[in-house]
Formats: sequence, C-alpha cells, structure tokens
Amino acid sequence: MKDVLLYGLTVFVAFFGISNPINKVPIILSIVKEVTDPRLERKVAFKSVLVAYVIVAIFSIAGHLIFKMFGITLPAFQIAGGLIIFVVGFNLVMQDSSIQKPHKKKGEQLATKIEDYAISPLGIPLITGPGTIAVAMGFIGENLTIENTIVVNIAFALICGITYFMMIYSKQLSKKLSPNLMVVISKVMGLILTVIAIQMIIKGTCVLIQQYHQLI
Amino acid sequence: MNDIVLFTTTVFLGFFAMLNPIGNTPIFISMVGDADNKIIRMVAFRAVLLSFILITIFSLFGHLIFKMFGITLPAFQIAGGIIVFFIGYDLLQGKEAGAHHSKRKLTIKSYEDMAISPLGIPLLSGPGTISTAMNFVGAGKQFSYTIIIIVVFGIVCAITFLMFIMSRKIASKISPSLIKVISRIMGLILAVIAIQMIINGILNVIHQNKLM
Repeated sequence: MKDVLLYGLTVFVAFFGISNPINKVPIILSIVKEVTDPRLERKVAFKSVLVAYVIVAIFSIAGHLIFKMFGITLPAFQIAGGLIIFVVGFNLVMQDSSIQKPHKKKGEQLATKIEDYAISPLGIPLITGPGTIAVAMGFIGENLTIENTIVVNIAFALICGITYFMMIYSKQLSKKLSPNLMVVISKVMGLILTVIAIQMIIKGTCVLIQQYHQLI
Repeated sequence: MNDIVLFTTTVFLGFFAMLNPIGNTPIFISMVGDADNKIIRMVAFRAVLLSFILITIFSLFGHLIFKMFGITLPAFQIAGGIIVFFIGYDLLQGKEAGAHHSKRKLTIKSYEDMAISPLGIPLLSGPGTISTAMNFVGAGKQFSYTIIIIVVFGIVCAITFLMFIMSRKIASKISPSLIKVISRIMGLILAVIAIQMIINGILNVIHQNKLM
C-alpha cells in the first residue's frame, strides 16, 4: 500500500511539473479573454479539462498501441505539438489587441469558436501536451498493470481538477484587472507561448538526433 | 574593457532599432493630435516609463521566468528571432507591424489609456523589445552586463522621450520621405539582428546537447 501511495505521489508531482496548472492559467486566460458569459466560461473550462483527461486516459491504456498503429514516435508528436502552439502564440503576439473591440461576431458563432478552442489548443496540446502523454506512458511502462494505470489516471484527474478551478477563479480575477493590463499580459503570454513551443521542437529534434546517432 | 564598449554599442543599436524613436515620432504626433504641451509631456512620460519598467523587470527576473515555464535561452532566442524578424520585415516593406505598431484609431480613449496601450505596449515595448533585452541578458556573462543593458535602455528611453516632446518641431524639419528611409533601414537591421538571434539559438542548442 505504501508503495502505491509513493508511486502515486511521484506520478502526481511529475504531472504537476509537466502540465503545470499554475503557469498555464495566464496563457489560457489570454486565449479565452473574449468570453463574457459565465456559463460559457465554465463550459469551456470543463470541456478543455475533460478533453485533456480523456486523452491521457486513452494514452495511459493504449498509448504504445496507438503510436505503433499510426507509426508515429514521441519526437514527431513533440515537433507537431510545438508547431501548433507556436502558431497560437504568434497570433497572440501579432494581433492588434491594443483596443479591445466588442466582438462583432454573432453570439452563437463566437460560442462555437471558443468551444473549439476548448479542444485545441486548450485541451491538447496545452493542458495535455506531448510531455504529459510521455509521462503517462513512461510511468506505466511497456507492461501495464491495472494498479499502475489506475494510479496514473487518478493522479491526472486531480491535476485536471486543479486546472479547472484555477481557470474559473482567475477568470473572475481578471475581470477586475484593467483592459490595458490584460493587453500587456496577453502580449507577454503570447511571447512565452512561442518560446514554450520552440522548446518542445528543440526537445523533439534533440531526441531525434540522439536516436540517429545510436543508429550509426 | 573593449568587450564592454562593444557590448554597450551592440545593445544600444539593438534597442534603438527596436524602439525606433525616429519612426515612432510621427505616429506619436498623429496620436496626440492637437493636445496641449502638458498632456503631450504626460503621455510621452507614461509611455516611456511603462516601457522602461517592463524591460527592467524582464532583464532582472528573466531567469526566474525561464525556470517557471521550463524554457531555456536558446528557445527564447529562436522564438524571439522569428518574431523580431517579422517586425523588421514589415518595417522594411513599409507596413506597420502588428506586434510593434498598432493601428491608431482615435477613439474616445483618454490620453492616459493611450499612453499605456498602444504607445507603451506594444509600440515601444513589444514582444520584440522584450526578446531583444532577454537575449542581451543571456549573452552577457556577468550581472554587471545586466546593469549595462538596463542603463542603455534607460538612455534610449530618454532619447525617445525627448523626441516625443519635441515631436512637432522635429516633424516640421525632417521630411516624411527621410523618415520612411530611416524606418526601412531600421527594418533591415532588425531582420538581420533577428536572424543572428536564431543562429545563436541553434548554435546554443547544439553546444548544450553536444550534438556535433
């Protein structure tokens, strides 16, 4: 029992480090800053967390199978994820957000757009990134036992819960901030997002090159 | 000693190209319109101050931010390089870059708001300026280099402030076409600085991971 607890704690800490709910919050905020309806807000937060959880759950059970089935490797996943995040960050940086105009799109259209955001980039690859999937698969290992799988799933469910509450709470907090400050935060976060993206691509490329060296 | 002089010059040129006081002055004029001198002074001071505070924070606590988000300097160099490149490219093409300049629509915004955004950020201190500062911090080996960076940025800020205050007089003396020429040259310099950043980043990655 003690072993399982220790294992669970290790997994939790690893997930917390890699999926870091705290540092994701400002990034998430700058993406969903257009949402004004509190119900939609909750929906987006819940959906993104749910998507993130389901993906980890699937990969924790059948990750190796999926990778083999599609013939993909973790470096490929890292590089693709990095490219996707880079574009999101780049758009945040370059968009003209100096004057926050009320969105002219119809409410429904905006809602669908924001809900799409909940899946990507929020759910994947931001909350559940290549790193998260790697942690989930790495801890379970090639020979998956039921215990390990359950522990990994519970640990990540906890992380998702924390992320959800941080998103809801900080959105309320951000309403009290001035729009000017939000512009500043949004631009800076966009910049950091692009850096995180490049970091992912670097990691993927390094693994690739190391694998290549091992081949020869 | 030679190193420090060279470093200071590089930092000064980089910041000067990024803040682009000469190119931004006409924008400033068009924004403040025909406000009286007191307001012009206030707006210019606030915008420059905000920009200075932001860069100081990033120069001093940049490494903390790196750790928090689990990012490294090479990644910052490459990402920053890409962003700065596009800003420079847009300047070179004579366009206003989204991250650096923003469309100035004179809405009923108070002058105070205007000083913060769009003047302070992203016009003066955009992601490009932050990237440039962070890269210089990463390039300098000692803490004294960080102080040099902050001081140099302060000087460039002061120049910008003076240019803004005297903008009306300057505008009547410099011809618009000269401003355009200067803007384009700045754009070219920025594009080259950007590619240099990317090159440095890639070289750093190779060094750190002993790939070669």
